[in-house]
Amino acid sequence: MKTCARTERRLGKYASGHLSPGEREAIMTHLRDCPSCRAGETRWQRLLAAASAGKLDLDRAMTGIDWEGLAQRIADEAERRAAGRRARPEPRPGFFGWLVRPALAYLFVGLVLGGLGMWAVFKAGVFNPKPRPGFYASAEFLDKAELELARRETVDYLERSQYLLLDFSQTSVDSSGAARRIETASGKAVDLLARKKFINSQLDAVPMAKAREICDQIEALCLELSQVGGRLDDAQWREIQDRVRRSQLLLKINLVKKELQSHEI
Amino acid sequence: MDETRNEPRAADAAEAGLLIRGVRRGDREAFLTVIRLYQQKVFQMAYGFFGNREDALDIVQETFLRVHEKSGLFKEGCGLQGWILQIAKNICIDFYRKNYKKRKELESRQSLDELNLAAPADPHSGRASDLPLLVGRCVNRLAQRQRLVFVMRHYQEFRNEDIARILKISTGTVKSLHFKAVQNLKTMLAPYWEAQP
Repeated sequence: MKTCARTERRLGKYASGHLSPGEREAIMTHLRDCPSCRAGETRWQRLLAAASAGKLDLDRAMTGIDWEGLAQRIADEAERRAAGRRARPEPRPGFFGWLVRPALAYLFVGLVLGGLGMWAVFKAGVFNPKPRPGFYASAEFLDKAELELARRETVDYLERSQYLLLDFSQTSVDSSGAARRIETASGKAVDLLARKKFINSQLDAVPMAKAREICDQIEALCLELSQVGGRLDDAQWREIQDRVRRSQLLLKINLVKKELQSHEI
Repeated sequence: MDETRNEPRAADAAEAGLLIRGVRRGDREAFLTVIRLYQQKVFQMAYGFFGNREDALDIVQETFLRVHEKSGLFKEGCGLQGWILQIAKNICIDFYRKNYKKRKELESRQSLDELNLAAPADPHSGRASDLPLLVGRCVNRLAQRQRLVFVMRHYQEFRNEDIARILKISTGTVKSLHFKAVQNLKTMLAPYWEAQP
């Protein structure tokens, strides 16, 4: 039975002539003794004969073809096409063709190189820089800095006021050049008034009550000086000097200034 | 063989070289000789492929026009017949792809059941059997490569080695494709074959 199954599998190749002589001989030997396998072999042979019968159809199809006429027609057509190819030379590029082709080539190369460059730039992350570390300051630090600025401005204001008041208190009306010095003092008073306006906001923001009080007194005096200008008579002059002396304004300025300087941050 | 199959012998390598050089020079007689030598083989292949005479004649014409155009590409020393049949095979495949719908339509005009299988397979008898037509139809239903191998083996009677060289495949593949083609034909023909007395 095993031999029959093996033979059955190989019958197709046997009938088609695809087996080696040894295999063929073995199958022929088996076929002589086995009617079942012989029937199978007969079916294969009939099939192949039927397949070859297709040639009859081919023979019918080939009947009546004018082979010589066909060959002549093909040769005529081939010559006609060859003549057409010869008569149609490859078009040469015109003036603009010569100009445009290199330009297109350069454009293409430029695009490729540009694309590669952009790719490299983006890959390197040039357009995506890492964020720089930001400046950070605590609220306490900022308060201290503001206080220090206000202190320095106030000390500067007090020094200038001190110089003005010293100059003013040591000048007598009848001395030579008094008019000119009064005029100068008046100008300085105007300048101090402007500075006072500037430090007012700082004095409001920081706790410097004493300094603010002194500054306000100086401001009032400067205002008076700036308003009278060089038109002071002797009595008015002495009256202002006495007021400055009585109020001990110079001493107070000195004390506040020293206090501010000693608390330097 | 009958009068329709009196094919000219194939040219040997030296003769093929001379003919192709003539074709390149524009020698009409050389080109006609090439056509006369191989047109029937190309027709057989094309007819086996399509089962349609007009299509096969179109393939013959297109093949030799391409041979004329591409004669400069032929490598002397190689077989001229193999080169021409390779061109024919490629044109057949292109044609098959372009006209697939048309071929399907032709196939569907007559079903297998309508064919007359009982009559004897003799073309000279009063009513010829449709068996060759039936087999042709079944061959047309085979896969492309199986059909090519089957046609070249049974209709053109090429050896396996020649088929392998023309189709650029190994001899083992040729044998395998042929065996599959025969098995498929057996499956397709079995119902009609069993009905025969």
